[in-house]
Amino acid sequence: MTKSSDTYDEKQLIAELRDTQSREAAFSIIVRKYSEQLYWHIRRMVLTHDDTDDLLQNTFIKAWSNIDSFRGDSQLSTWLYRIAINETLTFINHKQQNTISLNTPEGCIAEQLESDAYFNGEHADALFHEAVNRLPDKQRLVFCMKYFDDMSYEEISNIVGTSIGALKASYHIAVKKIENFLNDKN
Amino acid sequence: MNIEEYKNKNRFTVPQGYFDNLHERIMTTIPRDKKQPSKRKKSVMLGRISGWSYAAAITLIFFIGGAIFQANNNTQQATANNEYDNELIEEVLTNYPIDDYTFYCYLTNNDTEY
Repeated sequence: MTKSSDTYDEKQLIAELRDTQSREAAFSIIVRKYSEQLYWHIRRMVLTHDDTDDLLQNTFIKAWSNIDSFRGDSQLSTWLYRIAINETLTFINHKQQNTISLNTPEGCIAEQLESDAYFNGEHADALFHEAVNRLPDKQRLVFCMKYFDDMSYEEISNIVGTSIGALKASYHIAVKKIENFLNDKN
Repeated sequence: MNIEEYKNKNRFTVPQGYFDNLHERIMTTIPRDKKQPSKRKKSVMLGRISGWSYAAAITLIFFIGGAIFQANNNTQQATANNEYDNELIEEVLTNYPIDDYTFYCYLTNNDTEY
């Protein structure tokens, strides 16, 4: 995932983050470098732009507030992903506690997507994202990181702390669920 | 059914120019005082009142309480003081950043003849 030049830049960035004089400038570089990548990761989990925007900003606020606890034993991207994932899963759990999402009729999420001003897909695309959205939270997370972000199982394992074997199994099952859902709709 | 066809099709869009100023917006929201990280909230929750609102409420209470005390102790000037009190309340409400709920709490907790 990283090249030698990126590793050197990252080491320098981490050193500058630890220095209070250069911390803000270094953090600014991190925001520029990772904000869009994190945006799309969050967006595919929560689907709406407004929720994504809030979660993305909360992610960086939390990262800024916890810079001192970043020991540098993982990559910056891994650290940021973990924060984004925690924020996203917390948000999803909270949202599910306040809605009747478990009883949401099939096709409802796709309908909401198609009426969303910031979604320009066709009905099949909306159904696909509904199928992904119906996966259990952590399985959805693994699927999104593998399928959309094209991460390796090792990278995913470093972020979520699950074994590679379990991740492979989870992803395989997620694919089957999505395929079955789409086949039923067809 | 092969789901690979959806892989490279990003059907989600963003408001125009969103990513152009995203960096600046994020940098303006990070708390410079790291002791008090501020989390963006989508809506104001009634009952969660910040420290500044409490300070504003206490200041408001002192002003209004003092004005009421002065009015109650001088019956001959009751009419003039009522007008003064209204002006004072209006000035305080205009110049102090106190939300309506805090003011409502004050009023309902101080339900007097006045």
